[in-house]
Amino acid sequence: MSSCATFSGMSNVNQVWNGKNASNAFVADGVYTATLTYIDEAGNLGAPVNKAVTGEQHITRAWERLHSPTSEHSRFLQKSAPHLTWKLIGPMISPKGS
Amino acid sequence: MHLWRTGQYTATLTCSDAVGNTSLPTSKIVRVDNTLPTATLAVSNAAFSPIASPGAKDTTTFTVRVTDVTAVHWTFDITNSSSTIVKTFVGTGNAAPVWNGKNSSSNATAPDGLYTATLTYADSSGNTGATTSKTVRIDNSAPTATALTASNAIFSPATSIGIKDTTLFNSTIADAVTVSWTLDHQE
Repeated sequence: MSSCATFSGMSNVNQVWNGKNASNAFVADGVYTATLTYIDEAGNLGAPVNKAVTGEQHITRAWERLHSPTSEHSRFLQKSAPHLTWKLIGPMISPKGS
Repeated sequence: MHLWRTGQYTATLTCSDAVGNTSLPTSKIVRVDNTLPTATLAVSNAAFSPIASPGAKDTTTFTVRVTDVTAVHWTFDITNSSSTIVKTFVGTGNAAPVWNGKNSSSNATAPDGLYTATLTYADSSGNTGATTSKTVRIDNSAPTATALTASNAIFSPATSIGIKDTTLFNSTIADAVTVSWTLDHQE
């Protein structure tokens, strides 16, 4: 496991992650585990808590393929994103950077 | 009554009798000190854990700095929330007494809570300075955090602008003192 982004703060956690690493580049698709460690002013450590999130860029690719769907694209959707709940918004959605 | 200014004085005594015999003078140096001593008090760990988390903030150090032309004697009382003295330090001049959280009477560690350390002091002339105090907390309880949640368990930061571009992590942390945290993302 390698660290890709680290945040720190005080008191309650309310932290946004934009999917970028410390070099300000988007991380690759995959599952990322966020681990919260914390310590009080008296030096007492709390029990760490974790949360896994998935960075997934295939939604747009799926949408692009659905623009001209084929049976192959349908299979791609079923295979690559069976866990996603998604909806087609419309042509105003475009891949970033395009 | 005349008040002498602060400084060093020499008192000389010479005796003469009725027929003109005069003794040798004898003298004594005295200091008039009308200046009140001053002191500052600092604390290294406003919160510490004498029992829990060995090696991390097990004690707290009070730094006493006094100023006066004469030696300053001080007493340093640590009281609990009921104003009962649990620990006393005494000393002269600058010092840095360390409190390990134990009380003076039974050598047992005082319970978690707030404690007030009050410094009283006087110089060698009997002038008393203004008392000064600091509050410290004994905290042997580890902080707790609620389950870490993410607003979007799956998100697409680089594509589909405006739709699940980020994920927001939340957790509520509870403790008697300030807690600092680190959130590390690992692949």
